[in-house]
Amino acid sequence: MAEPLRLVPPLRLMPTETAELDATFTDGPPDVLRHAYDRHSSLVYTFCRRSVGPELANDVTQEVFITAWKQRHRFDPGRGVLAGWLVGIARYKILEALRRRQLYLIDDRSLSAARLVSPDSVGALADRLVLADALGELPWRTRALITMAFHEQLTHAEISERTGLPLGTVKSEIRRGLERLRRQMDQSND
Amino acid sequence: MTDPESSYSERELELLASLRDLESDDWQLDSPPAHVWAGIERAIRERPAIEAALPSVADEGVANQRGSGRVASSRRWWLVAASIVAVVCVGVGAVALFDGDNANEVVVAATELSSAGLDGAPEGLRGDASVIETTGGQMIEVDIGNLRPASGEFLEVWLIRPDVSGMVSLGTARPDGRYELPPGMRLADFPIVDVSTEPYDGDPVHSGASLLRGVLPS
Repeated sequence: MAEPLRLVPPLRLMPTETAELDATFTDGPPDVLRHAYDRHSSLVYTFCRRSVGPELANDVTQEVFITAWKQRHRFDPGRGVLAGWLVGIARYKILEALRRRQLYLIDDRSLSAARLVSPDSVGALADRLVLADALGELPWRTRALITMAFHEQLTHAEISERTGLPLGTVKSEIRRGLERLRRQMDQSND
Repeated sequence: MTDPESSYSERELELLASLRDLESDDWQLDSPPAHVWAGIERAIRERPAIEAALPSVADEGVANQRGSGRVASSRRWWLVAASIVAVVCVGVGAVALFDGDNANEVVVAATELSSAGLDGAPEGLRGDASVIETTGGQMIEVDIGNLRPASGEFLEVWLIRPDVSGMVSLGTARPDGRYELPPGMRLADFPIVDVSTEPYDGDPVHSGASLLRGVLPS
């Protein structure tokens, strides 16, 4: 059954634009920081808010982007994606903020109860947020197919049947998409 | 469904499992309040572009050392030194100052070095020291500017305890200015960065003649 896909259109920048942003970040004009902020500030801020709480998150987010700008010559788009690099800086800033203020118990009002934050949990959160972000970066159709694979645990054949796409297309598109996710994950863990 | 041709590989299953492990919160990104960007913009605008492009101001110092002309000028010669060291022409689209192994590093602490207050040292000597987080651990980068040893002497880089009760030699000053930290050493215990001039007398102890010194923020 060849029902047309009814999937959510992309809300974010397309991958090509993000790649272009990464490539120009080190030597681009000052407004490239604004582009980077537009693209990645919610990722960085959410990571900070969930790690150090809403009070400190604003300051830490600022520190991350100021440091990234000062040290942008150290970013190499050939080695990793900007999102992963920024999250890496944020991870350092978060641990530093926690250490400096001896603030390991975070009372995040968006959560039901206070929870303990450890370096490991900060790292795990970073990994999950980068993964979710990377998935959002995939072309919308690839993302939809992968979502069916992990969310509904459908096989290639079932997805092919569901979407009306040829089995070979489903297989190769999911494989390419997952490879891309893996690359981004590996890079952000450097 | 059991046809191997149509099933996922082990690697793919692993990744699908981590995707499944994502919590619903992980999909919900919140935007920071508008004043966050305003603060970044202010900090960036108040720092000259050439200074902003270069490391070595302590992270903690970002908010405290805005727009210092002195800092800006020391950056300028750092730029010259770095471009010579890296044999990279800055400004023609170089992606990174250093080679691939050193890319994507983060300066996690930095201090200026100076000869101020050091007995016997010429006045006005300046340098920078930066602690760099790399994929292989922490390194320290000590930029001594155009400082060269006097004839018959060599320069040595040290890390010293705050109360000068102990010190560790990082070795003879190197052209690339990069030093590995001894494994297991806590930088917080040895925050003073010191560059001394040493005679070739075979005595491994600090000569007492320091030319540059600075303290890394804890």
